[in-house]
Amino acid sequence: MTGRRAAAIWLSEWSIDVRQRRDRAAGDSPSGGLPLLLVHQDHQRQVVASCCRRARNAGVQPGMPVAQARALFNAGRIRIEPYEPKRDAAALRTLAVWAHRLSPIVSPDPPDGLLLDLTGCEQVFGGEERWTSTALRQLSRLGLHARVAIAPTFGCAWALARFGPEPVAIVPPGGQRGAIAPLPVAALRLEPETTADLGTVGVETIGQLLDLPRSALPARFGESLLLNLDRALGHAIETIDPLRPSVPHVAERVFEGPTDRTDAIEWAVRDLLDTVTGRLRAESVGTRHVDIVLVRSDLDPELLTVTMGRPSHDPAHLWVLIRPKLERAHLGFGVEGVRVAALALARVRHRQASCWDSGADTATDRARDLLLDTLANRFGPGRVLVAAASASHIPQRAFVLREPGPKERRTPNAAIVPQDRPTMMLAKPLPAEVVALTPDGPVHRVTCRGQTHDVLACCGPERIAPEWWRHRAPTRDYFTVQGEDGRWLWLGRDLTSGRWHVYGMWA
Amino acid sequence: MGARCWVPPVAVLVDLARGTLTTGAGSGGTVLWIGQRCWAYPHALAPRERREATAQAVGGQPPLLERSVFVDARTTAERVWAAELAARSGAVSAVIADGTGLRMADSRRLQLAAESCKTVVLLARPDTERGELSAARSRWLVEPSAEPGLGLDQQWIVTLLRCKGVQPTVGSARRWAVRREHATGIVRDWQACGGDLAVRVVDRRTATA
Repeated sequence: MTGRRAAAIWLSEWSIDVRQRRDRAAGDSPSGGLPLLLVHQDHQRQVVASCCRRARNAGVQPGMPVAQARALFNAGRIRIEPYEPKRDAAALRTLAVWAHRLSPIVSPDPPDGLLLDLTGCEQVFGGEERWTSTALRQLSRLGLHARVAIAPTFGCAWALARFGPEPVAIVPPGGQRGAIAPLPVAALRLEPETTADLGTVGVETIGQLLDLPRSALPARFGESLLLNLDRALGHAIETIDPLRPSVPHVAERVFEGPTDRTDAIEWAVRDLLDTVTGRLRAESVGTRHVDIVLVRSDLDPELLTVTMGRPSHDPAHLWVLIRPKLERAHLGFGVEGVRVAALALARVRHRQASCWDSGADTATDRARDLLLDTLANRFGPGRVLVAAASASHIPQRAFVLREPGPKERRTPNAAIVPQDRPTMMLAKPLPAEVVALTPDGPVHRVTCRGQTHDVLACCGPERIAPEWWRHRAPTRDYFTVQGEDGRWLWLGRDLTSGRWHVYGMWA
Repeated sequence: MGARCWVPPVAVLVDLARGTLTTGAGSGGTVLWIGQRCWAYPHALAPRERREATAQAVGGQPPLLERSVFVDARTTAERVWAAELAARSGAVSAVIADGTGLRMADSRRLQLAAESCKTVVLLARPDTERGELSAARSRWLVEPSAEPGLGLDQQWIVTLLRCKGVQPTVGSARRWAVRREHATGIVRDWQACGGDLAVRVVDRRTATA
């Protein structure tokens, strides 16, 4: 293990610092105000998970009940917020991406640390001391309290960052044993039970642990103790799983000078599209949104957008949708560069080709997708729709029109009722005047939109009441009536107001 | 009712669309409804219990509701463009469009598109446009009829106004009565008076009132 240099960063007040950063970004006054406590639920009582430095000076410790912590401050002048470990973990991943400026191999070490591999990086920063001072300075500029350690192994660096005497520690190669000997055994990343067991035997520091005979340790304290010890000393290999930031699917080309030749620009866009879709195909993902930016020499860049209903990585399909927009784009004096970016990535389902299947299904599906995408891109969003049954029996709400999406959902059964429903439902019900003997009785005459029809036949009433949890929705009685021209109408009477409307017809 | 607030015979159109799905040429295809005026209430597209049984017997095709796509094309030019694109795409088994305000040139484009890909294109037009020229293969008039004694079932009288290659004759040989059963929603048709003309539902265009 010669030459490996590992670094560990411990963010001693990670949850608090992240919370305060978020508050500052939201515009609240910084914590120059009240001390901050983060609490969470632990067996029916609220317990402090993390506290800021001022609270710790006043005597609050993690694990203390909140009521007790509150009593330490007079007049209750503290701020209590819920502890959000998931958000903190996501923020730690973001910080790990940021830390790529310090090292190419970074791995987040939850809940509040980072592990970096510094092998060969010292020349860039001019030495390890310079690296640690740079790291601490940049972290403090972000508002984070941190401790840094560099050592030949990750285990040693981790231990020194958290339990070492100094905020900055640099261990030369071969000095692990001497560096970690005075540290407590918890610095070996052990289970709490193992630490407690060692404590009962009287082993407090790692130096005492190293004095014990090696062969006796696994049987008494478990295998992991020996493994962690060897990792810290460098006798066993430890690797970290680095974070790989995803590379956006973008391709661009800059021309040597502004050009207004459409064939050149189309060729460039097609070429970039082939590059991007080639990458998408290699990763088995498709895109639902493609942005094309034309950088013009005298005007602002022009953005063309193409959206797809289903994720696609077929360049021909995308070109059919892009080409009309490109033809209509305003080129200005000339176009100097083109950029194609594929966003909204989603997995593409593969279908296995079979011998006897003529492939007609996939060809029809592709043609259908192309047709729907062309229509949607030409007309705009919300104009090409499919109907889906929703979980409501009220006729006006039973079916929902929405854009065709990649996932086919199962239709609930509440909307498809066995009773007959009109074949056409009016978007806005027409008010009607009705002559009937009794309110519940058969309808004799209907006047709607200025025309009076005598009713030949009438069927009903069918009472449709709303769901019990909707208090103000109306209950209606519906009648199926046939006018003298033979057309059947669906009349409804609102029970509360007594007004009649035509809701639909059997056209 | 004038041309602005007319209603196409949606029930008949739904039944014709369903017919195209089960014939061999249309299996696997989509049905497009172009123009908000001819959109049916989706309940009419969904199968009810009895109809589902016959669908399974035919070949287990997914029902009409899942195959239908509604296109909100507002102007006449948009509707014609969308209908032609759909007819030529080869993935659509039936196109049902609102044909108000179509001219001869548009109808010729659609007829050519329908013939090229064997797609059924049905155009619904108001009765006031009956005198307009059209290049459609066949033109039909659909009127609701108030025949007593049918109970709750609704009936339409379908008249063949014009069909390419067929002599125009007056008389009852060109009229059919189409009835929709209230209980099941199934549309059945039979010839009202004996006639020897059997019209197959291929490449048709409908003018309706």
